[in-house]
Amino acid sequence: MATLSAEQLGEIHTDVMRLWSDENLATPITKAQLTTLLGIIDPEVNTAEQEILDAIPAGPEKAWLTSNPHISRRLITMVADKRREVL
Amino acid sequence: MASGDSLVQFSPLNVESPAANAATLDTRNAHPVVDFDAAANEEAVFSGVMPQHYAGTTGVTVYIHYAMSSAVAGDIDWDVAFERVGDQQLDIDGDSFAAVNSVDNTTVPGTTGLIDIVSVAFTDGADMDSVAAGEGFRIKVTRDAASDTAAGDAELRWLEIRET
Repeated sequence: MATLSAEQLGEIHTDVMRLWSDENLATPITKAQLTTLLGIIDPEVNTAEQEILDAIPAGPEKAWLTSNPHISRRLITMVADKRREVL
Repeated sequence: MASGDSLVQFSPLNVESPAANAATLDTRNAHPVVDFDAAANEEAVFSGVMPQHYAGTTGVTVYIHYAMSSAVAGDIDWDVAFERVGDQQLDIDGDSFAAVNSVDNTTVPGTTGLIDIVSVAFTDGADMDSVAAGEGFRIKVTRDAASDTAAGDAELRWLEIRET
């Protein structure tokens, strides 16, 4: 797995600001601070994804997810989304 | 007219979207607003006729009434430019805006939705593209999002031109 490119982080940056604008979410950080934040979050997520795969015991599920990172990433995303909903 | 007297006011419902980089019409609690993106320099254009009572001596000052959609930190930059249409002065097949004047580094309000008013002064003559009393003109407002720091949209609520 790899971290996102600067262009991809820029797309998130734009999308996040539009989302917060649509929601009128009070945002006490600047554009530059958001850029810094995304630059920290992405490699941490990258590391966490690998740690999650490492934590799965050997077996067919580990083999399946290891060879299909798009599936493991979707599972992780779905869990993260649900965790956000229960905040 | 005396200094400070209002000449023209525009609401978001008067906006004329440019072909590219147009700020977008939106509402906030039923208030019409024009949204200026935080990631790209977007523009809104308004057109009118300079009132006959414009003295044509001290110039005009443009007042921008805006709120932020979400940002409660950072600053905002605005650029304003005039285009004289006049009487056989401009072929409207093309644009001819004069150079922009700016109001930069304004700290945004600490509450989203709170209207702040900033102003940009123009001297009479070339600075305002030599718009004279009774002449048609356009005014273009641009958020300089490439330079400002506030995250999220800026919402233009009114634009007023006063005699300086």
